[in-house]
Amino acid sequence: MVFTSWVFVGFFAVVYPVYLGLQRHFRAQNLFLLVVSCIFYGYWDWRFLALLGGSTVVDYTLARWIDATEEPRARKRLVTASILMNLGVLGLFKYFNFFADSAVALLDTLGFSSTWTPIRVILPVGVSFYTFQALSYTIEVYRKNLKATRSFVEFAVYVTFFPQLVAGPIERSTHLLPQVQTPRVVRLPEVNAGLSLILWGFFKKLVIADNVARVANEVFDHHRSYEGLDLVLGVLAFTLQIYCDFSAYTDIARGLAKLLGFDLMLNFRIPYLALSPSDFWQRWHISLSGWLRDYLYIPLGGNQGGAWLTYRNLAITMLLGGLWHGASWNFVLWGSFHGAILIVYRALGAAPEREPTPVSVGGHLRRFAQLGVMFTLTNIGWVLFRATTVAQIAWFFTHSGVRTSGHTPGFAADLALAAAPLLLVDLAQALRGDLAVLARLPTPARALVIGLLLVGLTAFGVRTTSEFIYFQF
Amino acid sequence: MANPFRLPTESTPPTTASAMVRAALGALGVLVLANLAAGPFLAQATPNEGYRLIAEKWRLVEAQTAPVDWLLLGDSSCNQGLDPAGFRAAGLGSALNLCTIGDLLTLNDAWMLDSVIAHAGPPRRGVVVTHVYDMWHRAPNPSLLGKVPLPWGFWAQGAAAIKLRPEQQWRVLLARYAPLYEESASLATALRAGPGAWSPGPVTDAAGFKAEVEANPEAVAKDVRAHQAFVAKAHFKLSAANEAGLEALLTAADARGFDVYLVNSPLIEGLDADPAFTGYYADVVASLQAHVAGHRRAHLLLAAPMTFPAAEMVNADHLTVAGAERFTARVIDEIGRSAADGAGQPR
Repeated sequence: MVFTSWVFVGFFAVVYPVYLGLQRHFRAQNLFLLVVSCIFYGYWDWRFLALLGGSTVVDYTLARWIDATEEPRARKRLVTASILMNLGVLGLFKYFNFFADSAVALLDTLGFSSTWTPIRVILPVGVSFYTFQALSYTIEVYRKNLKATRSFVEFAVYVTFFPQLVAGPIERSTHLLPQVQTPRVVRLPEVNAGLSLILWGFFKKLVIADNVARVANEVFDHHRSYEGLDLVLGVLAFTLQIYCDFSAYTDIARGLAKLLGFDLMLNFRIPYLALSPSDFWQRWHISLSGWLRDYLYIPLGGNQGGAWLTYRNLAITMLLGGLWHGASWNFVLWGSFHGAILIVYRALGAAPEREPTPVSVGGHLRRFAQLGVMFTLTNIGWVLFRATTVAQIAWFFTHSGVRTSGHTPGFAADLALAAAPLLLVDLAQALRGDLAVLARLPTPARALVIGLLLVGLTAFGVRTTSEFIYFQF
Repeated sequence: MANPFRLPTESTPPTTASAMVRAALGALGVLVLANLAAGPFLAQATPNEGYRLIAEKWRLVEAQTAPVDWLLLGDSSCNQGLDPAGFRAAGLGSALNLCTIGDLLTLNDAWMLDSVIAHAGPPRRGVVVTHVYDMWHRAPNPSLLGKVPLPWGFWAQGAAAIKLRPEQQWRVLLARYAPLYEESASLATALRAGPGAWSPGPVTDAAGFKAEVEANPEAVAKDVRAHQAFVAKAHFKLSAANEAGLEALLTAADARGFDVYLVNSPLIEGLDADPAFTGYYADVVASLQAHVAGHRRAHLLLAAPMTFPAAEMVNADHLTVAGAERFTARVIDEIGRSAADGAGQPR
């Protein structure tokens, strides 16, 4: 069930009044949330519910056992079992096809040509998100930062909470579970902020992302027909598309959660204003980068073992971060690229985001230069991410330039029209240092902006909307 | 102003219920105003030629103050297939081409005839109704019905009355009163095209004829394949809406004393060699003949279709101006022959 579909609008229109009607009985609310979350998820394919249910039961049980024993080796064995089970699920469903295809290709290369066709495994929606979220729970229980909940319903709601089940944010058990375990209060300011997030999310997805997707898809799918500035515009279109698509899902998820009285973590903080790779990862998909930092990078030793160990840890973390998106060489390249630029920036000692506000013209110019370099690097990364073959990547890097064609004005106009509202909002957020600028506007200005967003959605929203890009992960 | 490169935070601002309601009402006002502005803008600048055509033809209807000799009704094959100038040149008097598009069915023909009679009186000599053979089975298109400038509920009134389901009425309502939503693609295209494209010229000439100069053999070939695919699977049944429109036309002719000539549209040569086509076409002609037989002032012309080479066609049933000249002459000839055979006499 996609947020930007009429089916979901109908679903929420039924769910919300019932949820509010159960306001005084939060355990009944939890049970209701569990049921509707299963309906929400099962709408894609009811068979996926078995996997989700199975891993939830196993993690719940393992966490209870971890909590029940003080014996360190037993606790370690149990948390290892949870990690293996969750990563096994991920590995089977996410990487089976890749390894099976690779094995067949290898056999063919070695001359063992066969007619064997490997079985195909369907990728359950959101499996990468909910397995990481479930892992956060067993690891935190193991670390004794959290008591294992006795209530299966509470844990199941934590794993299946429908606003963020299929594309995050990947919540931490220490943040979300306590909210499940206590009565929620739905307050007007949160409703106001939530509605603003939902509207802005719909606008970003349907008006910006889905419109620029036409340019991005055209250029990437027929890359050999384009060169020069058209390729650059195609990359910029994808840069805009993936940000608006993914952050739109997060905004709608966080907005829905606010309407339900929950607070979900931030996932984006104006990422294209990043001045360095480490700054970028504090702004982009924060819930994943934070998860990888806390459960992978730091356990590997983080930056405590000297320069070379730090570089190794960064490379491993980013490589696995790339692989988290899927078993494909372009994700490996993308993760490795981000690992490499993190290492280079670290080696050069460049951490501009920690500097105070520049006062001189030179200081400002330097900031903008840093911004330009990081934005360019980010775009290079998106070429690796979006491309489907190495030849395609090579084409983009060898044929991009400033030469124009008959397509250029149209692509540029589409991109400029779509980017303008995003730039305005992101700029306002950056200048105020507050992401809630829409909810904070004075009433007349707010009415005007909401009205214009509704006009944009009505007139320019793509009706045959595609699913959110991050559903495939 | 904060340092724009610092990591932003998110803090929920306070609000009140009345502020939220005022913001919602204000936003709704902006939406309504934008929708109101979109209507006149699109009426002038829409790149949707079909909508412009419907508006133009209905303006012609409303401009009539005196009866014409011939009214030409029908779909777009007639819009660019029957030239009123040919009627004048043949000494048949004045003619007005009010043909629009196929999905408005014979219903629009009947509503236009009613309106012309109300404005200027019935045509002095006759009405020519030309449609493509694959129009007769169709159901009405609510979005197009929304473009017919008659008072709300018009589809349920008069001789050509039909019933629309609530969801169809909703589509008519959107088409008529929510151009911002319903014509969003046209709006986006018009805005993207810029001010230079915001005053497209009229689709047709003063007599309502659209002169298409360039043939399009590629479109013809593609359209032929579409027709072949259609007739290979379809079984003909006259739609209830078309039956209502047709009966209204024929009954009005009987009552008002003018002749109605049903004409099959021009077709690309070779299509009539397809056995599936000939079977389907024969069923259409038989159905029309059965209706014509029940009315003394009704005639069916071109029971066998008049065919044209691709060099004279824009698609499989739409002519260039050169083809239209020949088609008009043939229809006039057929009308004359029909009259000579005793048409118009009580049967």
